Amino acid sequence: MNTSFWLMVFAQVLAASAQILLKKSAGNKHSSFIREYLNALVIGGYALLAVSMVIVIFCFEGLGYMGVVIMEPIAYILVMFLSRIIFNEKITARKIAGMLLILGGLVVFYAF
Amino acid sequence: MKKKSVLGNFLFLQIAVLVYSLDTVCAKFASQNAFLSPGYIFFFGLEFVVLGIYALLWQQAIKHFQLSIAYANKAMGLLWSMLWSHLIFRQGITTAKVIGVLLVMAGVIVMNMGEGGANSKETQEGGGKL
Repeated sequence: MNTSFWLMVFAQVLAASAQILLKKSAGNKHSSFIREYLNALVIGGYALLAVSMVIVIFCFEGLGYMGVVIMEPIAYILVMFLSRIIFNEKITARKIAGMLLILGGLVVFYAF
Repeated sequence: MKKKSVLGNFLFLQIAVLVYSLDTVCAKFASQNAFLSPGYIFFFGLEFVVLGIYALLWQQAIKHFQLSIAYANKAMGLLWSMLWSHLIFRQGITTAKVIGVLLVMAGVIVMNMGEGGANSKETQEGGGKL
């Protein structure tokens, strides 16, 4: 389980990073409509998502179906921290509460 | 009449979430085939089809909801997944695991229903994969 578990965490790091790249591109000015989609940030973002999808497929064997699915919300937590660091978005008490519930749920799921 | 359309919008949103939950079903089927074998490529390709349909549905669904509310509803995907786990993959689930899933669902809802739309609406709508 261990390797698959951390591989799955890594896949969520890639997925969350992809969102940051997409958001970065969305905040930039582009010379044309096409350029809003065909630029390094967006293409890189979707490439990261595709790599993340491939990695996820490798995790089923070790974690089982629900074991994989339940880890996807980790990306929400990562996006929260990355957005704080890169875009200076606020981390509210509510988000922290949500994060703790997600992490608590993961502990319950994996510990028992 | 108005009530009916509210219910209709809600059902539409749930269908979008249901479709999204099928992505992991395709991924699991892909995992049962050797890497890059025809079966693997078929189910990996099917993931893109599912995500494409989901993106179309989602775009319509969020016309009628605040993005934060719509996002919180994505937690329902975990319930669908538990159903797929049971019906399709015949994987048993213990009470503790169900509680774990419910806690994670609650976390997703709490995180995304915050004031002003929480978990950076703009950040997440782009990819559709989250």
